[in-house]
Amino acid sequence: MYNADRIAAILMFVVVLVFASQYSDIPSFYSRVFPRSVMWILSALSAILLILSWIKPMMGELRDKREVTRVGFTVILLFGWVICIRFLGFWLAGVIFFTLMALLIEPSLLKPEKLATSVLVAAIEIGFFYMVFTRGLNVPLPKGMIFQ
Amino acid sequence: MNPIVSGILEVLTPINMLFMLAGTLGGLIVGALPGLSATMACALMVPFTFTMPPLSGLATLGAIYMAAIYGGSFSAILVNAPGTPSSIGTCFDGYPMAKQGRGQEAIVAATVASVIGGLAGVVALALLAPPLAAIAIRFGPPEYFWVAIFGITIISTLSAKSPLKGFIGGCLGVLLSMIGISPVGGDVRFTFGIPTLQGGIELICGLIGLFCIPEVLSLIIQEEGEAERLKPKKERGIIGKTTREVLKQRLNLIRSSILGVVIGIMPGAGGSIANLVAYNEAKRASKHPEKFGTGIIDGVIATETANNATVGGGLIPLLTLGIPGTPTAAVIYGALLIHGLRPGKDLFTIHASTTYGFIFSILIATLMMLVVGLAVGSGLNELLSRLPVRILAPSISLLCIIGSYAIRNNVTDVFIMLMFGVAGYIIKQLEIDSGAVVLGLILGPIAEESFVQALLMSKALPMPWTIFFTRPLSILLIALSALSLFWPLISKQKAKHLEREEGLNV
Repeated sequence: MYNADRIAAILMFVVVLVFASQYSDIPSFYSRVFPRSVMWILSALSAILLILSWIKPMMGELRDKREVTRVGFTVILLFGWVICIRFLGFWLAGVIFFTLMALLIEPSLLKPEKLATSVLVAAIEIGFFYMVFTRGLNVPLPKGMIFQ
Repeated sequence: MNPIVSGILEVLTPINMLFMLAGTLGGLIVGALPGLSATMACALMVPFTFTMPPLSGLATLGAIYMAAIYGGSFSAILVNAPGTPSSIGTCFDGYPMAKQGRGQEAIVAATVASVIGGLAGVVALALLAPPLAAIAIRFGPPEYFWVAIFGITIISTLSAKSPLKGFIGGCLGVLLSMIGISPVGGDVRFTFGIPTLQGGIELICGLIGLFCIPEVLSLIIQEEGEAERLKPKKERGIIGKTTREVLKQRLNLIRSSILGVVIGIMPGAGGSIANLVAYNEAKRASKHPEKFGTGIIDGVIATETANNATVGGGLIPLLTLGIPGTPTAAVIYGALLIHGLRPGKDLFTIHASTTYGFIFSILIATLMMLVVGLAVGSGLNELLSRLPVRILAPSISLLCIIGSYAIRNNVTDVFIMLMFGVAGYIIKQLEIDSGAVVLGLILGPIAEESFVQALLMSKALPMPWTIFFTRPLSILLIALSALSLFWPLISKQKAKHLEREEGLNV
């Protein structure tokens, strides 16, 4: 179990501090006045939450190790996907990371036959969206450094 | 011939009907894709309308606008990703309904409600345009500031479980919305040395990240056995049954339609605010507010009625005063000018045939939406419910990436979306409502701009701050904000009082 209120309050103080560190760089009064008010309000609300976290805390349940690992891997895969778009292009990066994500969800897909089907599904689906966006909606999607 | 009749007859020609059908279908698809908004769809279409006769071009744009606002409900209901910001509130109950196997019911409700809201907006546009536009121009910066504050007070109902955390989420959203160039001072702020942040955080990126990525992560952590989506309940006559249920909620429909029209008229507000305000009001007026957020049809009806009512509402100040009520209306403004039509009195006199034809075409497009929407919606629901999680989760991720990239063709936006996604997952664990953060993101810029403008306006006054509290409309809005803020307390007291009375009677 963890004290969700206390963590939330501390996290918000950190956010305010991060924003406050940039505050002095704003030259004009009219660009500062509103953010300053919001930062004060957020700090005040967080302080109330912090006090309440001792009086009447809201407890959250800790996730088990398997869930944390899965979430961690998914986040890494998602960021990896986006990083690789620049290099491999939208379609290829999509096919690779789509398949990797499917493998993470269902490790039994690692058999050659199932894997081939999974890759094919990814290739068709991403290809479809690629065509819709680039041809139909005139949204240029990255081709990747390799293919340029 | 009477110009109104000739306009209507022109709309009914086969070629115009075909344009409207294509516009409805196209708008629906664009609206359903997260990241592609009604504004973008209309903007993309404007060049194609250059060569068309004015009425055909405007009818096509009107159909796209109406259908795109409605299309956003599909992804909101089926994958918890609001296709457009106008469908944020639809996620709150639409997605839980889909999870319970009631996706089809939610889609039918959204369709019927959207059609009713759309029709209400068109009727308001046709009948009330001049008087309503006159009220809208009485809103100055202090009033807009209070409108934004009124919007933020919705959080107290939206996050009824912990209003304090809701307001913290709202403030966080407002703070994040201030990244970039300040609206009045023009200074670059809170960019942390990252040049791309100068343009600010795209609302759609925040939306997609906060709503969809936590959903993908939740899907992925499910056990393999439970990693099957709930199959939709097959029920005969679901369309008729749900339609009757929607029509039974007369008060909800009327209230949400009025809210949609009124908010649509206010420049800068639009469907993104209207749907949340309508959701809040429906919850407040409900006899069972505790059921909101668990998959209740009332929530879907309120949001979808209101957001489609903003279409007609947003066109009122545009056609009468040349002030676009919504961003999409601004694009339509451009199309009007391209065709040599200047908003104002001339539109209702010299060009009355085209203007009334345009208004009538939106009405026809709204009715087309009913047929096209039900067909496409049930197909999509069936398809998505059959998809295994190993395809569904990466597919949602793909839509998130493509949607956030397509806004500005910028990979950095995708990174921002992912960061919002991770933050969304964390704040979900801390029981802070993502909806509140999004509300802050939407209302932050409106609140700040009007706040600073009002301060500038009041420079000559002996006590500048009094400008916020002395104007009659501001006082009304302050009263409404206070009522909205303390409503959960009031309703709790009311419920306790009722319980006590019932206890005494027994």
